[in-house]
Amino acid sequence: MNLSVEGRPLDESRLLEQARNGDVSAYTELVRAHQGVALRVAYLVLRDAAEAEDATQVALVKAFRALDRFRSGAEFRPWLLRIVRNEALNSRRGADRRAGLALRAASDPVLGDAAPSPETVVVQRDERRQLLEAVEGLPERLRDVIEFRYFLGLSEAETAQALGVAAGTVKSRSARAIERLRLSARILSDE
Amino acid sequence: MNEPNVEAALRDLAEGIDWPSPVDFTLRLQDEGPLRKASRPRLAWAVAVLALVLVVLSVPSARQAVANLLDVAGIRIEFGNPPSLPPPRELAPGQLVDQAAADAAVDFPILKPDVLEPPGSVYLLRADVGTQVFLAWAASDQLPEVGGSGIGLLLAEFRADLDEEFFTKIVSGGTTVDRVMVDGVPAFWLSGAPHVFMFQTGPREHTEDGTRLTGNVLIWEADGITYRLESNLSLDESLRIAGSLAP
Repeated sequence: MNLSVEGRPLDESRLLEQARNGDVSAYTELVRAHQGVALRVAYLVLRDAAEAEDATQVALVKAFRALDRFRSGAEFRPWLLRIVRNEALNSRRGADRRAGLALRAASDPVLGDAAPSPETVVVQRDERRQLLEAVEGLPERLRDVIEFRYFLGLSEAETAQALGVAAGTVKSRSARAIERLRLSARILSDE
Repeated sequence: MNEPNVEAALRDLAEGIDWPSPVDFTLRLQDEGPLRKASRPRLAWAVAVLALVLVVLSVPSARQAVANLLDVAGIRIEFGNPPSLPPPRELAPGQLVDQAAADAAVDFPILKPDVLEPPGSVYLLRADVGTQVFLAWAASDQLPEVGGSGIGLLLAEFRADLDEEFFTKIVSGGTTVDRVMVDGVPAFWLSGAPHVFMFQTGPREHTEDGTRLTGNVLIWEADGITYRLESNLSLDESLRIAGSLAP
């Protein structure tokens, strides 16, 4: 799925204005541009596809109702994603253990045109699994930043808005998380 | 992994994750019409707010104050005379738990003041809109009792919701509100006459907050979490405690 904002309508501000005036069609156009990443935000919190769908849908309705509080000139996507994340967090049982993220079976990377050897595929698959486990083992504050920056492809500024923290906090947490992951990778490669 | 480019590996990893299948929410929103339904409560809510404003405007002392409306994430502060002020009662902020249970029940780190001993009691209050943590310190020489509750200081922590106003606080004419700063973020200091907290448990549903004391209140938000510190301490003392919060 392409989660980039390149396909975002250029007249998003116009759609926002129409949506704020109650235009449902304009709002659904905005939703169409961001629904993919919105669902993934909810999934990262809930780790359950059905619950993530429910939370996303509720959040999309809430966002529509909250549009009159949206600040003109602000970025819509991180504002929407913050609402989705809050809805997912609120629907999550605090003490529940989250399921881990899984890799798709056919997700092995293809390097160049040449088909990798079976041994290479096995090694790469193992490295990806180890990296994912290392991300899952990060403290939640660091993991949130890694997920939003790298798994969802948000900028530092968008991540800051979506998580409700300062941009400098995103930068410092991201640096700390990357350093930890790099250290984990070194330790694993030395074993 | 050899000396890795972790950032590139993370980006590569993203598309390998077993994400849920795409969902076209636009069809659901259009077919089921929740957006059209959503606009009706908004109108009803506006009518309710207008009614409240009209009631408040009928009280001369509140006319000037009603012009001011301050918002902290998760808290809405309205000026006006509360319809009725409930009598003081024993503090009952949810379920008494130990610190470990509180830590497990919320998804944010529970901060405690470095300048105080650990809290005497920890409470959880679960509502539809989220779970709140209350840390309570018994009254002492350093923490004067608030409102006959036996409590000297009460610190509430909860995740603010951008969409739902978690609380509505109705402030009587005798209460003053000052803008202050806690660790560089804006905060509000409410002092003076008693006030009432109301939970917002749904779009148009409110219930009285059983944690009401009658002390001075410092409210601020940091990292998406709203903090409410209530005591009979001075502003300076409250700011000192607020500024010392740490995991």
